[in-house]
Amino acid sequence: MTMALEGIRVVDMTVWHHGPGGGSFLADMGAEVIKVEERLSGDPGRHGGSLGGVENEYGLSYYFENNNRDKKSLAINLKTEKGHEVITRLLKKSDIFLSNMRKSGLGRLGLSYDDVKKINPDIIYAHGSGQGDQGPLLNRQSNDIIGQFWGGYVSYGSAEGPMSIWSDFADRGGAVMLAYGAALALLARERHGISQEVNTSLLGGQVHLGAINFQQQLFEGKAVSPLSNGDGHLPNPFYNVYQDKDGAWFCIGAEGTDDEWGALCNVLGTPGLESDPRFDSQAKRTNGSGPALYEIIRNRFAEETIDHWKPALDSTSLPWGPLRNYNEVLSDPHVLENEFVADLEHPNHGTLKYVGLPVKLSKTPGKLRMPAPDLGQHTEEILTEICDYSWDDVIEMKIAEVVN
Amino acid sequence: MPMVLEGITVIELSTGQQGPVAGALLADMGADVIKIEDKDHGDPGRNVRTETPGREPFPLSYYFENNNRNKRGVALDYSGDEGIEVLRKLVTEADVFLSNFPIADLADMGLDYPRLSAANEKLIYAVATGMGPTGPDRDKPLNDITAQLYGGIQSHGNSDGPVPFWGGMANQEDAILLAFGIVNALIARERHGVGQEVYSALLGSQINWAALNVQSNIFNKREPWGMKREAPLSPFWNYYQTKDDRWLCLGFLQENRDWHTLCQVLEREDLEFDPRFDSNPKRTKINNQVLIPIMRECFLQKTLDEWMEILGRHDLGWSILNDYEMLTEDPQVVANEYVVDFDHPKVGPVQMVGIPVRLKKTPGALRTPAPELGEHTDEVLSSIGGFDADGLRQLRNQGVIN
Repeated sequence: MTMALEGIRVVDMTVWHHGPGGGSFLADMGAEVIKVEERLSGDPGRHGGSLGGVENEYGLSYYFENNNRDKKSLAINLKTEKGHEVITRLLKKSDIFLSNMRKSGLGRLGLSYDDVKKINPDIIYAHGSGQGDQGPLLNRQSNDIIGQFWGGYVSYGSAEGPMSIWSDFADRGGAVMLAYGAALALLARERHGISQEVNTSLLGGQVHLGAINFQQQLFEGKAVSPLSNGDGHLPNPFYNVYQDKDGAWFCIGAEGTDDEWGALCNVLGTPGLESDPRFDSQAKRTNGSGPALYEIIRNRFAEETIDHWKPALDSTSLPWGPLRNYNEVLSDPHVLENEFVADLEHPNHGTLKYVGLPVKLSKTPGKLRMPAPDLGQHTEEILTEICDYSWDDVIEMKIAEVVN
Repeated sequence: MPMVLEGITVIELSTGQQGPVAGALLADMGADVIKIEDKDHGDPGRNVRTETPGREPFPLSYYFENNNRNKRGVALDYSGDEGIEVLRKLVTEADVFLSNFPIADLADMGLDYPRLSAANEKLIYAVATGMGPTGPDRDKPLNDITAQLYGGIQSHGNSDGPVPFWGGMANQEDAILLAFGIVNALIARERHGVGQEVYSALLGSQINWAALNVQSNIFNKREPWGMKREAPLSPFWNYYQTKDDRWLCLGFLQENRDWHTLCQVLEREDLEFDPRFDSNPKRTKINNQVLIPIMRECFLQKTLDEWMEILGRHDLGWSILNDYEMLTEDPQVVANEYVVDFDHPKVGPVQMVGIPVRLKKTPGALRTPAPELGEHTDEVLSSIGGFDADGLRQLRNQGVIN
């Protein structure tokens, strides 16, 4: 069977994680994604600075590999006339133009929406920005940590302060929104014959992630206040984190119904707790008497180890789970069987594990096909096979330092 | 101009947040999303709102309204054969079936893919799961907070413990990934003529959203150090407290270029050529633990307002720590219609969360509020289900609908 986006060509002019991640979601689904990079330095995400971390046995950057798997690379000097001609030919034969470069920069390269639409009226122009495509902060610098701080989610920290999320939480959100926007625009073209510009942003991604916090603020005049879950606990004892005797963390994610209360009392085995009049309704347990109950549960859980609690909790239908680190997640057979982490044949390093696809289509599934490209790895193939240049043209471009 | 998903019918059998939000994302883009609810109890999400003693609660649930806007509502007793038969009729006419019910429950109800697709070959059958469609722990319950701990992202929290994020982070992440999957399946149906199953999972979404942590662990064989304040971060990718106990962050990617400006901003020009900090490796790696406390001290000297004024004059990467009160009034949020005005038939003008994916020609729109329980039962069953007045009466007599 074909892949969902097979036959779709994407010109991916992106840097770092936000844009490249958007392109990789489309590539995983079968699109031919051509990453256009600056001829000499490439995407700065290749080096990644302090984020890169290539000091491993493979010499591979986890950052670049993850964000650019399944793509081809065209390395070119776009500031030359010839370079612009190449990109023009490529755009004529493509379905989607994808970028997270600032719009001012794209304009200077002759790649604004109006420019690209003139080159190919059927193309979809998908742009991911930091702060949206309108408003006073349009030209303010943005990136992952700024997206997180601006977008509200990390205003819930602990007593220690905010907890910004390592792993490019906001960039990932931007990447997903960009891929989703591009896919919607593609569907609009398939169904209605309309090609258009679609804009997403890091801020918009944070709005989606925090949607019910926003809506609570708008309706009730307040959301959970900043740093309110200090001391590592949340207001509701049934939806909270606890520690065992050895300090291992786990959580319960329940609502506090009568059934759940009975089950929890059995687990805790504290005499008289179930009949305590302070806790005889769900409202009392989760609201009025919540803090008192939280203390009781916390103290009780701290008396035994997780080996004691695990079988007891597993025998109930209470949703609960241990805190796991990534070593634990990666060695979980369930994770591997679902291919949330999947194998990829790397030409130089044999079978390597890569992050799998989060959504599975049964008949046109996405697939990990190839590792991230070397800089300019596919330049010649793209120039001759897609852009219809002769080998003489290619050699001329090399001499003129348009390509390598 | 049509909306992207105009003409697409989605039958949604889901509760809470993970499934309903995926449905709302499609509804925002023009799909006719029909939410099926238990006729007596409805989606328990209807009851989520803040009860403050002595204060009249806001008449609408922020949770249900946000998760179910733009949908139509059908209330049905689907515990018996008659109700299931009605559901199957609706699915036969639909483009997408969407649920976050456990896979085993759907099979017990006769709503598995083989049976539904037998009557509707091009159907897209989408299920938002906790643990994924296969594997030894497939039927283990997982929800937002357990997924955050089980998926790894909370393992590098502050030193005083994990800080599960409020607002359904895992649910929201999975909902948009499932919506992405459904849109891809719709594209595949247009281009390749197939219907199919689509599965997402809270666990899979947690792993994918934290892809950099996971890939780093695979290649570099170590846990992420996280963003604990004592972590060995770059001083330029870090956060700082101000004189008035507020927070701001710096996020520079061009540290060399910006070092001179930063020294001016901090009024510490003496640092610029200080031999401890005269190269980028020294500033960000070798002596970062010397520089960070110095910068912390600097930021404590002024209030947040003062810093905003000073930093705003320079082209630097920085942000204040916004909370939702600030954000809902933020001119940037309003200008991009991330929050929009909406005339709600029940309570009049309110503000709702907007549509963060902005398609210029076929934009999404907030059209209708979340439905009342069973608000559209008759109209949906007669138009899509093909029931006439007698048929509806019979269902009513059987207690299948109200």
